[in-house]
Amino acid sequence: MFEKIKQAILEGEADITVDLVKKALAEGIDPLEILNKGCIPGVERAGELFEAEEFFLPELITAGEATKAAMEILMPELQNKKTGGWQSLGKVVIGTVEGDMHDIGKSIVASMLTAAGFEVVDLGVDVSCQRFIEEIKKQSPAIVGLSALLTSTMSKQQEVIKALESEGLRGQVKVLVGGAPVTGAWAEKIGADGYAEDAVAAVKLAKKILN
Amino acid sequence: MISFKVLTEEDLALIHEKSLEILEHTGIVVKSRLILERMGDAGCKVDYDAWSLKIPADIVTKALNSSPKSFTLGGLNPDYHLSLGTGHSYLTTDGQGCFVADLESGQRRESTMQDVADSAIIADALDYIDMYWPLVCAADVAPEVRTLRELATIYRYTGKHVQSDVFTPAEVPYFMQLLETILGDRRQVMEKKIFSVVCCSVTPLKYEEKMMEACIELAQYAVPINILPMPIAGATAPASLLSTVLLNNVEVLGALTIFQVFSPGAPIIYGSSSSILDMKTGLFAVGAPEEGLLNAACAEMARYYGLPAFASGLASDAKEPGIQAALEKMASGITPWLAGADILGGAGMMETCQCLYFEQLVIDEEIFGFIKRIREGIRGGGDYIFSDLIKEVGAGGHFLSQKSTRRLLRQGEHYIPGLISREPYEIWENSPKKDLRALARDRVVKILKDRQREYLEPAVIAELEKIMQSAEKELCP
Ligand code: B12
Repeated sequence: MFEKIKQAILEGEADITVDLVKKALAEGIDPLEILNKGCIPGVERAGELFEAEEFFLPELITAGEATKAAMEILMPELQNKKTGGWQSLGKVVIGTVEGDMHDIGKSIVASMLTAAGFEVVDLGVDVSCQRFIEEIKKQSPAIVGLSALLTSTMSKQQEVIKALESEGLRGQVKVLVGGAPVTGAWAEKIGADGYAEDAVAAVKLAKKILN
Repeated sequence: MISFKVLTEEDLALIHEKSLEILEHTGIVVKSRLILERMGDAGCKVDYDAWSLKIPADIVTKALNSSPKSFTLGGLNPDYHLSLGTGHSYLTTDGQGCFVADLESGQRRESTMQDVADSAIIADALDYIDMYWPLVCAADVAPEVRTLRELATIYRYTGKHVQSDVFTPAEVPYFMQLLETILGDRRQVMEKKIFSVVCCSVTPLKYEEKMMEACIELAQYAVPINILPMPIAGATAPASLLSTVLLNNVEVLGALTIFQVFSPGAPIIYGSSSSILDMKTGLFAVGAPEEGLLNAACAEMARYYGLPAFASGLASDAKEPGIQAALEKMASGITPWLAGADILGGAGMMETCQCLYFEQLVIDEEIFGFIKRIREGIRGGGDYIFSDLIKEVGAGGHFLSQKSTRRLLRQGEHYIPGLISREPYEIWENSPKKDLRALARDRVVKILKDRQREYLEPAVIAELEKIMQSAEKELCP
């Protein structure tokens, strides 16, 4: 059964994964075991295959989505059991800054973080500074990710960091920045906690920064 | 002239048919009350909650009919004009990069107004470039007035046609003031068309309301609009190339219909800047063979409607000039060019539309020279079959001293390269051609040093500065 779940995840088959997980639960298998022996190995293997350049990005993303679908069923069970045995790697709030409509880079980062085991809240594009602050207050994420693709909207990343400071929230959340015109030097200048040039680097960075 | 096709007649018709279907039944999204109200009055189905706009086929057809099939883009120098829709093809610099490889240090850095000015000077000096699109953004200028300031600078340094970006309606009166000051009056602005704008759709099926509203205003003054979707096959568009062309087409027709409803007869350019997502890195890749195919196919769609086409090309993902850049630029340039795009973009740009290399402008000149020669094809017919000459010279002998050889060389039968090396080894070894990139760079340095031409009078420049100051007062917080 675990092998089948792992396989379904690797094949990016969300519906099949969900059916298998439900079947496993009905059979009385411990949800934590389903997670640790089926889902996680599946999505981790997908990550390895992507890094080894054997998997294409959509294969990794669909594996992540299948895992997410399985998690939605497993989470309530895990909480019922109060084992507290499983936790996401951390919560991430991500969005593209105000005035900027570039969507896909941010979405890929969000998918990859999800696939890697983070809980991700994607605010979409053209997200105002105020909205970021509200969501950070509401969600208390460990990380906030700010995407900007235009020279003219990069300054909005700085604006969010400043607003976090004035709201007294800066200490509670790590800020990661990215997007085409963004560089390491810019990240440093505006006082971000990190910058990543692509989604693979973003995941590594997110993991590193929470350790 | 060689022309080749990447789409069949059936595919062209299929794309058209499916585009109308999508526009009518799925529709597009644009968060503008102004646009929705007007389109609703024109007979479209609008939904203010979803900001959705469904356009019936007859309205699209009417818009296609009122969109001009040919018009001329002008420049401050009357010798530089682009007759679109007449079978001619032109080349423009690429636009809006955020980095520059510094000419002195070679280091990649953020771009500034000086780089905008320098690249305009170089583009003005290079014969093969017909039009200037600010190659990079002036990051040292307040973003609210950046495009305006760029424009006020560029017209000093180039007599060629200028294409720029517009972000909000608030910029429009200043655009008009700048252009009227440069040309004398509004009528000249509308007639000469020395300025056009880019308008990107937000694939899939969305548009930015402020950009659209600004373009609607500019269309009233006959400012040509280059509708330029950038669908990414596999990411913002289906992985199928044909379907990516379909999405590009839907988005061009959607915006075109809006502009034609507001200003029937407004000059529109059918654009495409499409490519694929690289599925190993998860990044946009423009140096891909598919890039050439996609933009060639879109140019064919434009021709299907009889509209002037802008196609991205001469594109590269390479981080610096060299082997990768040359091969990518050749492949992505030749394909849309052979498909007959009216304007081809790309010159000077590297690193996936992000980094300007001044010396690449000179290298691209050579690449483009090859492409142009290939497109001219083999001159055929009886006049060019020198069978009598072959009989006359007979076996052995040579053709070097023949009059026809002299004549044809003068007529451009053979392309004469400007940059690459064909010297024998010993000469090459000690010649500047050993390092083509350095040679290209020297040429750039010389152009910048020798520059004499200033296109605007001091009084006009002072006037433009005044306009910019009031623009800053109004637009900057
Ligand atoms: C596709 C595209 C568009 C599409 C976007 C469609 C969509 N639904 O997203 C459309 C057509 C809407 C568009 C519009 C415009 N665009 Co645009 N666009 C691009 C293009 C070609 C590719 C961007 C992309 O999607 N790349 C693929 C993704 C996967 O890569 P990515 O976004 O870089 O993301 C990766 C990394 O950066 C990183 N990352 C991204 N975000 C984050 C966040 C965090 C926290 C981290 C850690 C990492 C990270 O990981 C991602 C995945 O690997 C770029 C060129 C380029 N090379 O980037 C220009 C580009 C960004 N656009 C540009 C311009 C000028 C515009 C317009 C102004 C053009 C116009 N006149 O209409 C408008 C502005 C619209 C607006 N207000 O935002 C310029 C920017 C110039 C500048 N200096 O500011 C660029 C550089 C191209 C150019 N030279 O013209 N664009």
